[in-house]
Amino acid sequence: MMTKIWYKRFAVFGFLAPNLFGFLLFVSLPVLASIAISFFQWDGLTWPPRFVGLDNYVELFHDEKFRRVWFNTLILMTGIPLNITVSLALALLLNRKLRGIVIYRTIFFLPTITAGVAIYLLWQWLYNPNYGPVNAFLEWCNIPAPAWLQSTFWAKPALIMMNLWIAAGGFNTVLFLAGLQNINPELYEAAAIDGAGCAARFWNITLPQLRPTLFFIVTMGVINGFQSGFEQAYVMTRGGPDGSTTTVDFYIYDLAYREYRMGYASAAAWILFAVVLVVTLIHWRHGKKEVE
Amino acid sequence: MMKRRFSWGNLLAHLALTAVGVTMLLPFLWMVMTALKSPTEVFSVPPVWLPRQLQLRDGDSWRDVELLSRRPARLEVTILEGVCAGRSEKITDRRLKGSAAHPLIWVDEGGSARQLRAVRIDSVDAPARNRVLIAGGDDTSVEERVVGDSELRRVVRFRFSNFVEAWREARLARAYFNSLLVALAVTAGQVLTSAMAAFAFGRIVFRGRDQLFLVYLATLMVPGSVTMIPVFILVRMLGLCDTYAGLILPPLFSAYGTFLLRQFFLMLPKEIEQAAELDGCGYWRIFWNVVLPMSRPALATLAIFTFIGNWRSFMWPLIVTNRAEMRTLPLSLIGFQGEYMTDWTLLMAASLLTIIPMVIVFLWGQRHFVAGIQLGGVKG
Repeated sequence: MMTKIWYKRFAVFGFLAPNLFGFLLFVSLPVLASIAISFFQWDGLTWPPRFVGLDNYVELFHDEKFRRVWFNTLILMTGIPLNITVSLALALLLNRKLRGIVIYRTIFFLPTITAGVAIYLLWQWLYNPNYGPVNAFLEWCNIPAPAWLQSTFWAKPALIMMNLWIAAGGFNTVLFLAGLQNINPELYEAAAIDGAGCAARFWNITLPQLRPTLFFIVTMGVINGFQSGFEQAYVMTRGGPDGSTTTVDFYIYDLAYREYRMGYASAAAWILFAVVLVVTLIHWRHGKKEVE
Repeated sequence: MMKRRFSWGNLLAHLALTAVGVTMLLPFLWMVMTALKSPTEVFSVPPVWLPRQLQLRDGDSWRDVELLSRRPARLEVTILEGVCAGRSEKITDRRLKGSAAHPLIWVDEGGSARQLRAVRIDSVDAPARNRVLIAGGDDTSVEERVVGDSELRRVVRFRFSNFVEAWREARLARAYFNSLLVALAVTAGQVLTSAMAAFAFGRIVFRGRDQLFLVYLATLMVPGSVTMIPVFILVRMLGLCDTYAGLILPPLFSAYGTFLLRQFFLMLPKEIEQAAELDGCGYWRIFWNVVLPMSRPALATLAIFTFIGNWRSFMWPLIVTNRAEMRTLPLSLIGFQGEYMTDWTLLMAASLLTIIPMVIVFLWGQRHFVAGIQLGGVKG
């Protein structure tokens, strides 16, 4: 009996150990370390770090730049509802049991799957004011063409449009499609008997039935939205022009790995975490309710 | 199955889906076309889609040449239509649109927008002068010549040599090797270790299990930028900057894999363990011979997500590497951008080479991919 218990303990340990060791070292302890670091002034190298208490947080609240990067992040997040609307429209079209759905879905997914530095470089080239096809097209339509990524005003819309292209046909469309396929067809049949039109069916059946999916997509979009924007800005604009595309994530990168202000950067990261946490808690709390 | 009948609604849906599909594909087409152009062709105004090669008349035949610079022709034209009809203007041929038979120019008629109006070419004050470079028979001798437009022509030609050149110039071979090694190692390690942990969490009952799993879950909501700072400091202390260990180990451990696989393992029938115990199987045998083979779809999903995620991973390699030999593909693309005054043909060629493996993995594992999104939700 004793040996069996020990055998089980040994087995549990054996199965957990490789993952748990790495998880402790690279995930959970760093979370704790990062709180600690946020109370210090430290370049991450010289010993000992200087304890400053809450000074980093106080300074952040007065940091003009920090406020601006939050503003930039929020503006870029206005693309989220746009993305979701387009994704829903695509899912509705794909749900019509047409021929060649797989081909459409594959093509729509290509931007999402290839997203990354290569795609950001491609869009930088597409947006080129002199030699890019975007402005050539606008000029052809007789529309005044902006300088896109070189303009403090147009850089953000340019990124929002690019992200629409990247994300609209991707994960959200697939999730919506799954949600649509879960709707009981009898609901539509009943509505048809009542003589409900296309729009009425959409507002009274489809949308309410999609609520759990929609909720999941919105909250995940917001959670990811707060943490995004580093890569595109680094590749396409280096955060400019004049800091107009610097997001919170990019600012934390700048503070930590360019200015080596590890404490200050950690404090900024924790403020970001706090904001994300609020949305996550709403996501979990309501998500449970939605499922029930 | 019912025979499909024609419906206007379906036709409209097809049209809409095709329009979106074209929008999705056009940027990729531009990428491919740019990658196949000559370096001077990319800067043509207005931009052209098909790659072309400039050729110079040489007796009865044509020779490939490179354009160094062009002084536009100066012309005198008369506007034929619109408010300004009858007015003559002196312009350069850069302003000329339309075809040779029907020349057009943009005319400012005082309203909000300019108008495209037909013109008649009255006289050519000075012909265009093109400075071109002619490569001699051997590679060393080159000749410069100034020629008029009539001696030149452009033919459609795809420069496949751009790919070879990009591969060499950006030292892509090493970056490809690095990216492949890192992505494969992280994928293998992540799938194996999180499958083991998920087996313990999902199929074995032990004290403290749920509490420990809750810690795993809790870390899922911590932004990457929070943990990355201490991890970077740790990796630097351990002297792992600019090493494969530094590139591979930190991204290998994420709670996401454990979470996803545990969900799947929980759905497997309870009888597995009972049957296996009767056969006298230990935990490892149950795990390796029964649970893993039954979980292929979930494992494939995790593997595909992890591979693609790490293949295109940018921030962590950017932070943890300095030396050119340790760069992964996304980093060497960035290096390319700075090093050579942005040669768009080579940059787009290199970018294409970077995304092709992701497209292949996606097409190959698409079924799992779609199932995986619907199974567990995705951490973006």
